[in-house]
Parts: sequence; C-alpha cells; structure tokens
Amino acid sequence: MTDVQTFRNGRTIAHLWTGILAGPLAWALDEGMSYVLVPHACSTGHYYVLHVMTALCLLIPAAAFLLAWRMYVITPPSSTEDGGDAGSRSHFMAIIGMASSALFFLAIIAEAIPRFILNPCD
Amino acid sequence: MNPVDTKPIERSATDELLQLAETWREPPGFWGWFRCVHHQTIGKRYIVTAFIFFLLGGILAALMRMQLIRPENRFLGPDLYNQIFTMHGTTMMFLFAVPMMFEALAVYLVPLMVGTRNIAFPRLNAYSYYLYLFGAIMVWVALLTNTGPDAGWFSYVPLSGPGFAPGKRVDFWAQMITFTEVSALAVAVEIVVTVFKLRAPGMSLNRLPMMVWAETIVSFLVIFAMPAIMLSSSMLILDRLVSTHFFNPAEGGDALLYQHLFWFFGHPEVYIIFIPGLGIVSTIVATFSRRHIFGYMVLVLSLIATGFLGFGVWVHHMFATGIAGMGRSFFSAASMMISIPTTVQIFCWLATLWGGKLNIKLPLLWIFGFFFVLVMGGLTGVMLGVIPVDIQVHDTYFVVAHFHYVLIGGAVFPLFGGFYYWFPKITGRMLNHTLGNWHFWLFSIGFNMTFFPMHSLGLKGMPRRIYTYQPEMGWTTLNRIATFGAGLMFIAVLLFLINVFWSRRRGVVAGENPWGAGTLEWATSSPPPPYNFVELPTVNGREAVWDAAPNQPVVRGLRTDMREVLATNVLDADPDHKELMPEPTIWPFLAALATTFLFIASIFTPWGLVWGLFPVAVTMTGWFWPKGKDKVNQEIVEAEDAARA
Ligand code: HEM
Ligand SMILES: [Cu+2]
Repeated sequence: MTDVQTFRNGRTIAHLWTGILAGPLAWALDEGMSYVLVPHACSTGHYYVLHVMTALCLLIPAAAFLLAWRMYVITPPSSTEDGGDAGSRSHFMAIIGMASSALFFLAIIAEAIPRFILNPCD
Repeated sequence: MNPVDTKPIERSATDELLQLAETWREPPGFWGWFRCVHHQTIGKRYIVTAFIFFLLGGILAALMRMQLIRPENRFLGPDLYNQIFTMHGTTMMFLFAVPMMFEALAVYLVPLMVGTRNIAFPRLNAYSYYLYLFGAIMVWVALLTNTGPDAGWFSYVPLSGPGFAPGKRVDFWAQMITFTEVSALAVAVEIVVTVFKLRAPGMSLNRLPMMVWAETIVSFLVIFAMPAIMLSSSMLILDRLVSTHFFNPAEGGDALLYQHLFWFFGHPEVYIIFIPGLGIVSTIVATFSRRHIFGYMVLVLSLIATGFLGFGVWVHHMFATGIAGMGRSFFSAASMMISIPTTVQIFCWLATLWGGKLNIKLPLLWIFGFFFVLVMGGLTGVMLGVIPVDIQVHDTYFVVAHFHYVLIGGAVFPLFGGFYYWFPKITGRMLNHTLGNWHFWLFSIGFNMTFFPMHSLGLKGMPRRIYTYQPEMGWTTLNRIATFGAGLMFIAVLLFLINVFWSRRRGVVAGENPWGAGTLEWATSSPPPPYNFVELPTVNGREAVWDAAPNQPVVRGLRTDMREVLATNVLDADPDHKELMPEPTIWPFLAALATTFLFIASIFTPWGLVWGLFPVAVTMTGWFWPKGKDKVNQEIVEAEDAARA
C-alpha cells in the first residue's frame, strides 16, 4: 500500500494530470496535423505520412492510459469514489485519466477511418 | 500544521456577527453603487443586465417576425432588416447568452457553492462587469443612431471589410467583441482561481458540485477560445482603419483566415453557452430526485470531453467554402462524436430520475422541456454534420431552426429552470407557481410553433437573412405560424416578468433551503448575508448539506474585522493560508471608463489607442496603489504575524 503522502507530491500529481490531459491533447495534435498534412500528402503522393502521424499520435493516449492505470493500482484500498482524502481524490483522477485516454484513443481512430476511404486529392 | 483549527460548531457571539456584517457591508449611497466589489452584488447586476439584453434581443426578433409575417411586407426595409438580424444575433450571443450562462451564474453561484466569502479578484470582477455594460450600451447606441452593425453576427469578410462595408457600422461590432471578451476573460480567471484556491476544506476535486465543474470547464474554454476572436476582430479593425491587408486576397491576405479564427472561437462558444446549462440540469435533477446524481464520474468526464471536442469541429461551419474532401472529413467525424458525451449525460440524468423520489416542481418542468427540445436540436445537428445535407441546406431556415433548438433548448430552457430554482436563494421568496406554469407551457408551445416550421421552410429553400419573399414561393403559411408562435413566447416572457416583480415583494417566504437541496449555497440564509456564511463550512461529501456529519466542523479562526478568507490547496482543499480580500473602491469603475474611452476612440482614429492609454494607466495605477483600509489592514496582519514569529 502506498502512503497517502505520495498522492500529495508533485510527481504523482503530474502523473495524474498527464493521464487526464495527454489523451485529448494527442487527439487535438492528430486532428491539426492531419488537416495540415492532407495537401502535402496529395502533392507528393506520400499518403503513408498521414498513417504514420496517426499511429504516432495513438501512442500518446496508450501511454497515458498505462500511467493512469498504474496510479489507479497504487491508490490505497481504503479509497472511495467520493472520499475527501488525497487517496480517494487520486483514485478519482486515475479513473478519469483511464477513461479519457481510452475515449480519445477511440476518437483518433474514428478520425482515421476516412483516410482509408477517401483520397487526399479529392 | 493547519493554519486554522476546525472545531465543532458553536454559535458566535452576537457582536462578532455584527462586526462581520460591518466588515463585509457594501458601501451605501449613490457613490457606493460604483464602489461595490462583492460577488453577490456584481453577480446580480450581471443577471439583470444580461436578462435585459435577452429582452432587447427578443424585441428585435419580434420585429423580424412581424416583417416576415406576409410576403412583400413593407414594415422594415432591407437596410434596417440587415441591422436588426445582425444585432439580434449579436445581442443574443455576446450580450445575453455568454454573459448570462457564464459570467452571471458563475459570479453569483460559484463562491457560494464552494463555500467562501467572495470571488477571487473582486475588483477585477467589478471592472469586468462595467466593461461588459459599456460595450453593450455602445453597440446599442450605434443601432439606435442607424449605425448598427449589418454584416451578420459573425461579420464575414469581405462583406465586413473596408470595400463592402464603409462607415463605422462594422467597427462598432468589432469593438463590442473586444469589450465583451475582455470581460469574459477576466471572469474566467476569477472563477478558475476561486475554484482552485478558495474551496471549503473537505471539498476535494472528486466532490466538486456539477455546476462548479461546468463553470470551471467553461472558464478554460473561454481562456482558450476568446483570444482567437479578439485577434480576428482586431485584425478586421486594422484592415478597416489603417488599411492593413490581413483578409485582403488581392494584397496577399486571406479571407478564409477570418472564418477559421472566428469559428475556432465560435464553436467553443456554443459550448460556453451550453455547458453551464448542463450544470444546471445536473443540479436540478439531483435536487428534485432527492438523491445523489447517478454517474458523477461519467458526467465529469463527459463535460471534459465535450470541452476538448468542442475545439476540434470548427471547420464544420465552413464546409460550403470548398475545403478539400479528406480535410473536412476529420471535422465531420468530430462533429458526430461530440454528440456522444451529451447523450451519455442524458442517460445519467434519466437514471437519476428513474431511481429517485420525484418532486415535480417548476425547475424540473423546464428540465423536461430541455430534454425534448435538445433531442430535436441534436438530431438536426447530426443531419447537418453530414456534409451533403449541410451543403444542401446551407444558409437556409433549416439552419436557423437548428441553432435555435440548440441554443434555446440547451441554454434558455435550463436557464429558466435555474431562475425558478435559485430565485428563492437570491431574493428570499418563491416565484408564483400558477404564473410559472403558464410561462412554461406558453413558452414551450410558442417555441415549437416558431421554430419547427422553419425546418420545412429551409427544405423548401427559404434562405436566411432575407427581408422579404414573393407570394409564389409558398412560404407564407409557415411564416405566419412562426410569427404567431413568437407572439406566444413574447407573452410567456411577459408573464415571467410579472411573476418576478410580484414575487420579489409578495411571494411565499423561502427560508434557507426550500427545495431541500444539497449544495452549499443552501447552507446559508436566503438571500445570503454579504459575508455569505456566518462560519465558513467544511464538506463531508458531494452534496455538502445532505452528507454533513451530525457534528460537521466549521472553519474557525478567520478574522471578522477584516475581509479575510481561507485559501486551500488545489486538489484536496486542505487549508493552506489566510488571505485578505480587497475593500470596496471606485477605481475599477474609473478604469473601465478609461478603457471604454480607449476602445471607442480607437474606432475613429488610430491615435485613440495612444491617447487612450494615459487615462488607462492612471486609473490602473490608482487601482493597484496600496492605500486606505487595505494598506492599514495589511500592515496590522503583518505586524501580528511578526509578533507571533
Ligand atoms: C426568443 C425568441 C427568438 C426568436 C423569435 C428568434 C428569431 C430569429 C430569426 C427569425 C432569425 C433569422 C433572421 C434571418 O436570418 O433573417 C434569427 C437569427 C438568429 N438568432 Fe434568434 N430568435 C430568438 C431567440 C434567440 C436566442 C435566445 C438566441 C441565442 C442565444 C438567438 C440567436 C440567433 C442568432 C445567432 C441568429 C443569426 C443571426 C445572423 O444571421 O447573423 N436567437 N433569430
Ligand atoms: Cu459548430
């Protein structure tokens, strides 16, 4: 079991926030980069650039999920969903982190589907 | 060690209470009005002002509906009609919806809900209110002097550029943006700091009330979205005033850049309006089902996801501009995904209602109305997300119908629910039930009668923003129905106003917690005293009032002779230190006047910016200069700290 003090130190807190925020930021990066790369892919014919970009972006929420999951595992068993102690609060943040990473992982995939169907030069 | 000790509750001595009241009292008299810095006072002003602009926007809507009641009507000419629809959209979006759903509700409610005595940066708060007020008055004076903006509420270039829009009309629009966005940004900063640093001990992040989550997330949306539109409107002014060519393709500028910048703000703005509505719904649903909300984590996650996704769909407003196929597919996909979190929330609310002991009162009625209208608006929204449909009905009344379903359904319905819900807290009296029922039913029927036929009008090809049409088009009957519905809505809102004025004085006395609700604003008298709480509360669960322990401790050891509050830490709300809040002062008002001078002068000459800076610098210096009671108090506290150490 991890000491509650752990959940008050900066490193742990940074991990918890990373779990929550990295997924959505990766999705934003993917969308922005994809939009920018479409003209490039069309003019050079290097369609693979689009796929590589997205594959790289998918790594971020995957990693964030693992991080959040690790945090979830170390929260003390006494943590409850709405407890007022740092353990419960971290438990909450870890779950939100896992869910948000999973969600935005799927969001990146959803936005990747059209590029198998459409042509960048349409 | 904690800087404050938490002991079981015991009544403070009466003279201590009197002192508290004296310390937090708002300055009286005529000049006192301009010096107030308490969040309740400023919050109430925001609520009243934003509602007045809702009424003014509504009057413009009524004028448009009167013009469109029959073909070839001569009531409003094309030039006036342009000004009126532009000012209707502008007023509703920038002067009503955002200030009401975000600034007004957040400023009034959040400090009470997190259990503190005032909002963070209260002087900035006063400044933000005056800027909003002056900007709103400026653009309305422009309208009344026939210089009203006329290029649509989003003022696209080139129509709004120097070539097609001579005169000052569009400049007033662009400067109105500057006013309202500075004001919203200021409030966003205050709310973030209030929520992160001034929460009652025990209110850890996983216990924030849903309404507080909503307003916090909206604050971040404001912080990230508003700069985009301030940039685009400033570039527009520069193009118009000093002949830069940001948006002029002939000189290497780019007209689409304007649309990108506008909608990078514009779509998140829809969520700035909508997310507080979701917060209201969660609050009311929990209270009137008399149980904790089902799926708290899911709701929080949905709000966060909506906040992010809202930034990734802006290009869907530009599908008709010929953006390439694959590029726009990303935004189409995101537009469909963004309906998922809202759907999930609807299921959480239904589950809460399902298992609860329902108490069907007026606030809940409006939430039921919200469900119905929102589902309709959501469906047409998904239809618009499909690119071929969008291109077909682009710029027709189908779109007008869609966004009124979303805006009125997503914001105005929950807002009225919120009015019925919080009116007793703000005034101490309940709104009348019978009048309230009439208001609800007339408004709902009128609303659907106005906007449902517009879907068909759009499919029949009626374009938006036309001041009249020919009888052969076959649009007459539907337009007549729409105008009649608008009349019903008008009557409904009148009934509401009568109810407010009557109940304020003669309504049933509400007491502390008339709905038996669980959040902290109900743990103090109605209306709350200027110090909010006799003793700052601590929190033992998500619904602070319901979950309070029999002997729930309160915060002790704060001064009553100075405006002192307790600062807590960001995630766990553990007591951190004590903080002095500033006293009332007139400087923010003067600074707002100076800023107004700068903004308005720079519509007419670039030198306005230069000359305007001096009064702004002087008033801001006056504002920040340590002096008077603030200085004395600070010295006393420092001396006492030194003596203790
Ligand atoms: C209260 C009843 C309302 C009525 C009867 C009404 C009516 C209308 C009509 C007829 C138009 C189309 C004008 C045209 O294209 O020629 C319009 C446009 C618009 N309305 Fe409303 N409206 C109402 C409330 C609202 C509210 C509450 C909001 C926002 C929160 C809103 C936002 C807008 C916007 C943004 C436009 C577009 C303006 C433009 O084209 O630039 N309206 N409204
Ligand atoms: Cu949009």
